[in-house]
Amino acid sequence: MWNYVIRRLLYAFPTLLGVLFLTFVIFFALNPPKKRAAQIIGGKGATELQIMQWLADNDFAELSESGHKKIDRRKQLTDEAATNGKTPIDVLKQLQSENIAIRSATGTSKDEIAAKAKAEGKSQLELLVAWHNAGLIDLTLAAAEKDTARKEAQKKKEEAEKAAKGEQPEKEGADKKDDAAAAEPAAKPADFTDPFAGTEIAWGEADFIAESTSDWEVLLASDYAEYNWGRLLWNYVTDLLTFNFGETNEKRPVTEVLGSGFWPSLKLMIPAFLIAEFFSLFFAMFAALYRGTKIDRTLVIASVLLMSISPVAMIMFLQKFFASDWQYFPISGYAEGFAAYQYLILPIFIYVVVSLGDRVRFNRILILDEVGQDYVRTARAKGVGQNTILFKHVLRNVLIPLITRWAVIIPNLYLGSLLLESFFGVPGLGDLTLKGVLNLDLNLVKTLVFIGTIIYILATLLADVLYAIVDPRVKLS
Amino acid sequence: MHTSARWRHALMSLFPMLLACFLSVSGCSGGDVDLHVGKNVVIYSEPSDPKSLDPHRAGDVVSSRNVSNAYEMLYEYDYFARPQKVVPGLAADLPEVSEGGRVYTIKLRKDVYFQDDPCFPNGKGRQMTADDVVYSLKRFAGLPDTTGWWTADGKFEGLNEFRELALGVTAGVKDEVEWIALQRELMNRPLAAVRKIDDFTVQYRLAEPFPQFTYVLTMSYYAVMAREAVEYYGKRIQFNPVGTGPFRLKDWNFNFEVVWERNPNFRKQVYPEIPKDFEAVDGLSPRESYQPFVGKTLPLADEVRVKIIKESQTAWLNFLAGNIDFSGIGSDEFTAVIQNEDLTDDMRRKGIILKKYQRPIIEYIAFNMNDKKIGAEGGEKAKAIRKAFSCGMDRQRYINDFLNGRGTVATMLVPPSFPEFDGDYTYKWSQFDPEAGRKILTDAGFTLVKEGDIWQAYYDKEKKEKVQLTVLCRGTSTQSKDMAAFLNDSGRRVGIETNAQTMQFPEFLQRQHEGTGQSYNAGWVMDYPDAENIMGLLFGKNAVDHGVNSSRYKNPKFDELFNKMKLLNPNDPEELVEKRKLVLEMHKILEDDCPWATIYFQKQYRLNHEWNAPNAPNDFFYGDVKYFASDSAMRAQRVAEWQERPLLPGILLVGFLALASGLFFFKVYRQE
Repeated sequence: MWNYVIRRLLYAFPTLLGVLFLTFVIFFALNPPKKRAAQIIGGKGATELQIMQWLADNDFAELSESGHKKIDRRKQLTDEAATNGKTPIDVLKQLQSENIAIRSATGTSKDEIAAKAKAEGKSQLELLVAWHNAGLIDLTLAAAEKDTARKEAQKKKEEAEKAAKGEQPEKEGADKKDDAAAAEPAAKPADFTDPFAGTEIAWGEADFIAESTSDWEVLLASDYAEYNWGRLLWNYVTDLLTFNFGETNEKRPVTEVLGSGFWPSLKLMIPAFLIAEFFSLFFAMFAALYRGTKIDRTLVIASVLLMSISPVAMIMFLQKFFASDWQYFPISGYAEGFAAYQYLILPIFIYVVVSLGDRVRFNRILILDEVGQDYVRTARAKGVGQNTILFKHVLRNVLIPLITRWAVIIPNLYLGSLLLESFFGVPGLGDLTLKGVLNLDLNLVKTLVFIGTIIYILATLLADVLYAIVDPRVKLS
Repeated sequence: MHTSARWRHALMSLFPMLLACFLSVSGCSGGDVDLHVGKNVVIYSEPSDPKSLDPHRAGDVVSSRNVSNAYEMLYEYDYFARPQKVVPGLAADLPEVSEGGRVYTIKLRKDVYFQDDPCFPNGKGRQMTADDVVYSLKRFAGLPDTTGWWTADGKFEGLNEFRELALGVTAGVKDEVEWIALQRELMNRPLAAVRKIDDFTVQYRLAEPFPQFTYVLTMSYYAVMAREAVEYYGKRIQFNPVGTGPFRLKDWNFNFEVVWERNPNFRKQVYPEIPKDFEAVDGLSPRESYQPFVGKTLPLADEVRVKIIKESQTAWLNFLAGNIDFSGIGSDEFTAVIQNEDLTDDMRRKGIILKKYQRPIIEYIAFNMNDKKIGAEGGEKAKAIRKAFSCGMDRQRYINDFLNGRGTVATMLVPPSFPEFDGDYTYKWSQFDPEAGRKILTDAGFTLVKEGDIWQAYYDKEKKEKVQLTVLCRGTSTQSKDMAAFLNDSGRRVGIETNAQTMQFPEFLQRQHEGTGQSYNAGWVMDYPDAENIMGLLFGKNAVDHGVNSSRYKNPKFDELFNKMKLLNPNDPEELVEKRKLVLEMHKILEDDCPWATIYFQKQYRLNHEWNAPNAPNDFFYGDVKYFASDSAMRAQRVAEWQERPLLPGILLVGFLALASGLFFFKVYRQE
């Protein structure tokens, strides 16, 4: 048997990978990240930059081929500059004229900083601080102020030029009188030092490189590839297999979201499931034993009646009458520990009533199947008592299809019940799947699918083991 | 009897026993709700959790109201003034405006302390200073995922550049420590948009004069946060609000309840005097009912419990049972609650109080002026179609049939609760008159034919080309479908074959942003009580892709008037006169061009229990929770009075089940 269990667990791996791959195709191919980003950013009219930023933040985008080319070209230029004695500003101007993006306000592209940091085994921040301490770059307030002053001075100069051309100076000129700092002369390019060959680093240079927002956006966005399918799949699978579920759209860790709703859902669903199974087996036994009699017919008719009532209507009516009008139960609510059951009795009752019809009919057929078997007739002929037949033989054999059914139902119990939970204010996981799908919350949905798959695999394995225990004819090999 | 039969009988008797146990146990459990006697606890419900308690990020209604418990802005709204008026919050006084309306110098209160929190040294909340105000604006501008950037976009001097820089620096940084460190460097940069003059004075510099600026400063995106708190909590700041507001977060059980408790560090604020010219209009209660609270320390409530209840029936039943203090009215309950525009006797007997007030939300049809058939290019003919369609809408019937009367016909673009509203004026294209509509079409040279009950206009005499109009409706809800049906029907009355399409909201917005629809059934929630906010929707500069002018209407004369109008302050009596005049002139221009067909303004009905302090609903003001109060003793008393558990239905039910199972088991016994 252990061989079997181990083999099944090994089989589980390809199954899991298959499911992951399928869901990946569904999530990404049918609704590509870029489209989803636009949908999530949605209402505010997503710009290309916003979308690319979202993609980068969510690991969907990486540096594109053109982005790499730009970086290479930049390196080439800076190397040349070092030998030709050109200033960093010259390099930047050249890059700008070639429409090449430099994607960081520090003047060094993020990737370069990242690469450098990695090479030196430091975090990017440590690297920046180290550069700062070494006097290569200036991260202080003074530098920033100098930078602003330089720009203001430039503006003044432009205005002066305009005035010289005979144009009226614009109003702003007068408004800036109090900014004495603006009178300082412009910082010369030579003031800037460079950490790598010829790369200028100073806060605020972003405006210099890309002058208008739209330029800046396009340059920034074009640094990324839309997505690299291979890497996306790899990240998707490894994240899940290492239980790195990420955050929901609301920036809550998925594990926390699942953890907080897990118990309320189970508290509701496990008793409801057990009670419903108990009563349905109970009635099904009567119906099967007295097959074809009035008892059987009454039970079947009652079952069909119950099945015909819509669960929503049942919930609304029972809540209105039992909880509101007659006040036998609280209307809604939840509490910690066992106290929760004062609120959960009515939803459990409704679950039992709503699912009884279906279950009774199903179980009745299972039992009928067994009762019709030869061994039952033989037992009867031998004079074995009705109860011995029923409980020792029939019920035991019925357990096999029942276990199969439970193996399907039980894995879903942890997800609670959407309707019951939202009507009775239970803070469970019932609406999580729906919410995840509606909000396009990928991390949430993929985690739910993943956990669902694992539980399902384990449940079917457990079911197989139980078959062997219940029925000696079944050999696990 | 066989031994086996005994088994079964035992089982049989088990069932009714179980049932009886179940019912009797449950019978004891009903209504054990914590009534919080002895404490002033306000309980209300929201349909969902707040999206975030980070004031600079989230802007939806639920989040805003919760955020305003913990955080405060420089300005807030006067509780009683109608039309709404801005009063100082964290600011000591109204701003001193200079340099032609571009510089706002604001003195801060000196008695404001942050709530106690481990992020401060010794856990003691420190005093709020100008540095915090400066920091808050920088932080807001540097957040990539804020929903409120539109409130600041292009309005401050140098803030757009700052945002670009900030987004560039932090783009793609995933390590949280690093992000915070980069942010810290950013926050040290001087910013032209806001400057500290001294510890308790700040100065905002705007890109251009913007008299509505104080309204903007009441929004939660301009809440004052402490730098220590943001750095201490990092991303978790949205679950750990640390502010200066009237309440502090006690507990947040996701999906279930948000609990706020009184913040002992809250500045001394008292319930305001009732103004002399107080009038009980627009949802306000009679003067006397507010009198007992005047002079009391705010917040009035010791605790505020926000229950998350998704299902409207559940919320409603909880309200009826007294578990929730106030409630709206769902469409399912409407007929049971309201008759002839007033409460039913049942409701009045329970002491429930009804409040009706105008919401600053307008519903309208925006015609796309770039459209070939019905836009500016179409000339007089297109104009006639737009006007005729406007005449075909029976707005009052729509309000009565589909909104249960909760709306008023939009006779102006400006809502009735705004100071610029003029009751004597009626926008020509807001009145239902199909005959006039058809006449406009025939006068413009269309051929009008009656086909059965339906009118149809043709461009030519040969009746080859039908006059058609496509309207995009936002959302696929029932309400949206009702609206689509109403629009289709309206078109038929005047001879325009109308095709109203419902679509998902994001898709609708996309079409509207790109300007690819022929016309839109749009809605606009005003952001502040100034006509600038609504008239700006037709301003020529906004007629661009992603701009708010979805009808892409451009009229230099209108724009000129708008530019004059927007600079006038509606709270100044003299300027108001001028402003109203300009708004009317603008409407006259619109009457000629008809880029919009106005439909209705929303009206809200709200129910309170009698143990609530009377409130003053104001859709612009989310910080009004501090004025809420509940008399918990009275609530307990009422709940006890209402408690009746009629035994009869229970007995009947148990009896019926017992009888049924008895009969059933008797049958079983007979079968043996």
